[in-house]
Amino acid sequence: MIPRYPRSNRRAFLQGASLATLSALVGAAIPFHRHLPRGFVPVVIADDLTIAGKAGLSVLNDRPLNAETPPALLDDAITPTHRHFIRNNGNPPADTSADAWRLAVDGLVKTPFDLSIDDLKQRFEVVRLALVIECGGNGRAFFDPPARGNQWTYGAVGCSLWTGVRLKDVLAAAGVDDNVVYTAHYGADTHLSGDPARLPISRGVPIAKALTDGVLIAFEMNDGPLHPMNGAPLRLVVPGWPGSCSQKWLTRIQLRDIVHDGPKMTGKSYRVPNRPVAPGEKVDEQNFEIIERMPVKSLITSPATGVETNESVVAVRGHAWSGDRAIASVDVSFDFGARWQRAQLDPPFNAGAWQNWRTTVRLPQAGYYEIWARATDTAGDAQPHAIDWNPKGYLNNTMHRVAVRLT
Amino acid sequence: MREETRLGVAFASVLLSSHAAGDAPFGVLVDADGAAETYGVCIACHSEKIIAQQGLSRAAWDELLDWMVEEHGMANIQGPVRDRILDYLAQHYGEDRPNYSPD
Ligand code: HEC
Repeated sequence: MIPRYPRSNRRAFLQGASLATLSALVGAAIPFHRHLPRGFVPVVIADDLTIAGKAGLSVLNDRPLNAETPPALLDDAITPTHRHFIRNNGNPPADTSADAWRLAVDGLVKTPFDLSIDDLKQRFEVVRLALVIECGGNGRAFFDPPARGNQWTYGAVGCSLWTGVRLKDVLAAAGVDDNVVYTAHYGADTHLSGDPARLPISRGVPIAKALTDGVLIAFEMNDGPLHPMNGAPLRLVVPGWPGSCSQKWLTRIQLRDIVHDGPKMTGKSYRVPNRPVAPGEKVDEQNFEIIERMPVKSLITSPATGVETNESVVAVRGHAWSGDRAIASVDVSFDFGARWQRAQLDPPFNAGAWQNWRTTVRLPQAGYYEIWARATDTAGDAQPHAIDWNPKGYLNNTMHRVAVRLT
Repeated sequence: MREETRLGVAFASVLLSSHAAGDAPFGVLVDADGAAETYGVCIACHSEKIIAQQGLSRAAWDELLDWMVEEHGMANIQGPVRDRILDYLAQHYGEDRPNYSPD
């Protein structure tokens, strides 16, 4: 793990951690937790903050838990569960056992219902898809002036295998009323204030998006259980849209005849100005619009930035993705963008997955290089050099640059 | 600096830091004027790590405190305590980000 804060501080924040967080850190329920003195840190985590079932993630915030994956640890073609980032808005539910879990589908439907996870598996076709989830604020750390929120750098993205049923099949079974415009998603996590009347987050998507093939109600991740911090036992996966659309610990989907107005739908949350703005510019709330698809982007997962080598031939590889679109090409430069070479690009595992790419660069002489990658999607959009600044720090899809020193 | 003086300083700082509650009295927050108020008010719902990541102007911190009150149920703190918190945040967690590095 990359330490972001001095070790001495870990104890302080663990002392304030909730039982659910402590359990996640230890990797098991803590049966005798009531005997733990307040502020007591279980010995297995006292010395180093690790998240059980997650390896190498950088912890941005421990309460609520928010952690991202350094790019070099995202090298796998499919993101293993232990490498998938965590973005929590509230306190995760204490009980995430699948047996008693219920999902309600209601609002403007012909037949509202309430189903167990077994019911979902029995009534609907079960599919397994590789799907990209990226936090809307991935890359926020590089905004200048800074934008508020968790300061994600590169690694709030992953493409795991998700098994579940299609949201559109479930909605078809419920019968979507003609006047429905938006979905509203609810989860079992609780607000940080402890006030049961508040929800940590409840977002939704336009009904047209909800009825596309790739949107899943998922109960498995990489052929195993969902990680508790990734929404076990049930979550939505809305590929290519801000991760916040993919409600974790999913308990209810409601259909509405207005654009959903739950927490983090309104104001400036997950919204950007409806026109280009100057860095630092003040923008009136009414001139913000809801983010839908995420823009074209790529990551270099090898080599790791900062690497020193005496081998002038360097294998370069990574992933590229673009919300609701495929990637047409990936180009790589090692001379600050003067010349570009085309990488070999794989087709996606399925629509909604990222695409893996690779190439080899030959560094001409000893010295400092930056390897840059630039993806172009099927609509012709390519990654920019500079950030399209917006007040809340969303949608940073600038090129990823890694430093390599040839000795 | 002479050897004993250096040892003396080291010893004093060990004493000071172990004397405070835990290793760091205000977690990852810079220990300075206004830290106590900020820590006291702000860690009820989340850890101070979300605060230490930010780089905001005083006006933006002011707006953020309003958001904590309106959206998240924080007590509406006004007057000198609010001023001390805003001064502290703007000075140590301002737009120039004196206390932030991405990793
Ligand atoms: C009553 C509970 C509560 C208190 C007290 C509180 N906060 Fe928050 N704060 C929240 C919640 C809830 C969020 C949203 C968490 C999320 O969605 O990740 C939040 C988020 C934040 C963020 C991230 C902003 C963003 O746009 O995501 C910052 C910075 C912050 N709080 C600072 C403070 C400061 C400074 C104080 C003390 C003056 C404070 N908070 C006190 C509940 C609280």
